[in-house]
Amino acid sequence: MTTSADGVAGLRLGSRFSLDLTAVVAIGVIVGVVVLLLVQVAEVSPIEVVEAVYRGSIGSKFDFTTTLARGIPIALVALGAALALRAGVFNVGGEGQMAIGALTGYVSLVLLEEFPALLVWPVAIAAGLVGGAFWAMIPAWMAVRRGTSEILSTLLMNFVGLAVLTWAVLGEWLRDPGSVTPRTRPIDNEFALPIVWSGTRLHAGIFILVAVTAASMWFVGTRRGFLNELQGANSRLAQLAGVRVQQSFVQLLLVSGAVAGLAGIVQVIGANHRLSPGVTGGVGFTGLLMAVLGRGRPLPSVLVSFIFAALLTSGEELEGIGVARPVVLVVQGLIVLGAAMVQRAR
Amino acid sequence: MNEIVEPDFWQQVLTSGLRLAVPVGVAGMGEVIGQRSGVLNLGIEGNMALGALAGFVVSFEVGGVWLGLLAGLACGVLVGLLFGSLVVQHGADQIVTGFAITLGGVGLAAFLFRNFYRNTGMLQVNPFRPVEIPGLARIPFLGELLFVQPLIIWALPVLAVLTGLTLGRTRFGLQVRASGFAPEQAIARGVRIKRVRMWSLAAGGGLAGLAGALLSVGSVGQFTESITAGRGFVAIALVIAASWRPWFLIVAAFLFGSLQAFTMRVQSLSLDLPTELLVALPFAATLFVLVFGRRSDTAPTALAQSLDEA
Repeated sequence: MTTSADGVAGLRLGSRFSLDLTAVVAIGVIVGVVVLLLVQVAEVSPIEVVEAVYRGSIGSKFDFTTTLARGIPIALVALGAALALRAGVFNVGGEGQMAIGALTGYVSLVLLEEFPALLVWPVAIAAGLVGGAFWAMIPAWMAVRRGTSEILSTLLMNFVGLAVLTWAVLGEWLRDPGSVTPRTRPIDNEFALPIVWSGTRLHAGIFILVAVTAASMWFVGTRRGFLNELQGANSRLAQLAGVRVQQSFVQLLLVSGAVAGLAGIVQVIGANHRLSPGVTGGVGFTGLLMAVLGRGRPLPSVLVSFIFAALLTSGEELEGIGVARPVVLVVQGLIVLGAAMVQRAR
Repeated sequence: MNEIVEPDFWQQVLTSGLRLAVPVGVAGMGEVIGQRSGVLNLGIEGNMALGALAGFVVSFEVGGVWLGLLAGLACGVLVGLLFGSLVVQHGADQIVTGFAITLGGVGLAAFLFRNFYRNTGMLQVNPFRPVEIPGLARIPFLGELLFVQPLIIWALPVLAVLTGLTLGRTRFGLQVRASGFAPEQAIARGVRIKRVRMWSLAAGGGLAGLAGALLSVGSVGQFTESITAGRGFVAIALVIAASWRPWFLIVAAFLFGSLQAFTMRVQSLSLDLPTELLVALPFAATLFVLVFGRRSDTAPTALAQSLDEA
């Protein structure tokens, strides 16, 4: 098996969050840097910023539901990545898997235009799952055949996947001829997931997320789930306990790829209603980081996904008080840095 | 399609390919050093963005391309040391820390640029210009390719020689290779592996920052928020495809630069080629090398493992 599968993750997934000195220092540095940026560079008061973040992310019905809708794909990718991460399998390929899942799902919609939505939705979702899994299959095969670290192969596959998506969107078959920006024709209205809260953008994808979250939480508690965690902590021990480490490595990589593909198609039928090269927009990378922040556990991973989504949504309000929007990325980066420092590899 | 068969077309492609190879080659050289010491730095995309900004700001406010490059280098060393202190000293996960630096670095560069230069329109500094070397420039084909170029293109072979000699012929280089290949034995032999990795990451970060400045002040004379455009990840791919060898890396960078130049020309001629797929070529080629390539003895086997595991 790959060396990385032996636990390059090495995160102390099982242990409790301990607020030791490093954590205190890390949090102090993060807060310090952010306050410095805001006060010295953007010349606003931190309190004003906190208010703006609150207002712009959960303060109104519209912003709150936008945050929820934005969090759906991030949380889905995070759930898939978390499942693999618990076993020490680092799926860095969420971005590409999501792109391919969105593409295969969208293509199935185009092919099945004539059929009723209730029939088409399951097919499209299945196509998204298969597309994502397929994109994870190549790294899995490489790991089995050559022992190639899945970190490198899944990382590289992202950029191939994104290029394939762009190529397909710009191709004559899918491209919307009436649009200047590269994007496909919109999907049939009938195929768009229903809005679950009228007057907002919150779509039925939230139920898919709830279902996947519940399934993940159930799985973590099963015998298989426990053996996966054992594999992540000590793959040799897991082998002695009868786990077929290589087989489980392949399965986990495929499942996490499939869930990332699901995130792609849900984004298409739920939020965007068409395909564009930017459908992933970094969500696949963020999702992995959310799984790390959640220490591979389903519910915490979903929760931090929504926190990051809230930060993204607040960007508009921040822009309103004169703080350039990319500050959100800085805060996100710092949070992940702090987390990486606190939950250091053992 | 006729344009493609003209020798002129290829002359132009290769000439701009050589120029485009410089930033990604320099960043890749830094990544070679870091990875040979056993650390996978996925933060170089963010490091390049910050270096590009630092270089541009110094070049614009103070003046001079060289000062800008120096600023990019210095900024890159700092970011490299930050990455190193987290990963090497504190044992933070390499992948996660790298992504965080890319995320935060690209964000910080964009934030600072918007904040200070938001309403100032298009700002421009003078980038490197091609210099014609008398005599040599007259050589058919090669003359135009090599001797009517900005002199900075020679930075690549110089860097390759330096990196190759340092890694291959010096004590420090041996320690770097040992850290990436057999960290446990290296520690047993008294190599201060943490220190070696810190130095490697500082050098690698410096080169990434320099590469960023080469993009902004060196080639276009401007800073834009999407200036790195994934080139950091391209550099990582090229390093792996080149099996961590400096000279192979230069060839890979040249191929990548030429591919980029080819894509741009083909687009401007509106030829019917799937240029969007060509973007994937460096990554696909690297995957191909990983699957079918000979197992390289230069591969750092301890890559991306944390120190305590090694």
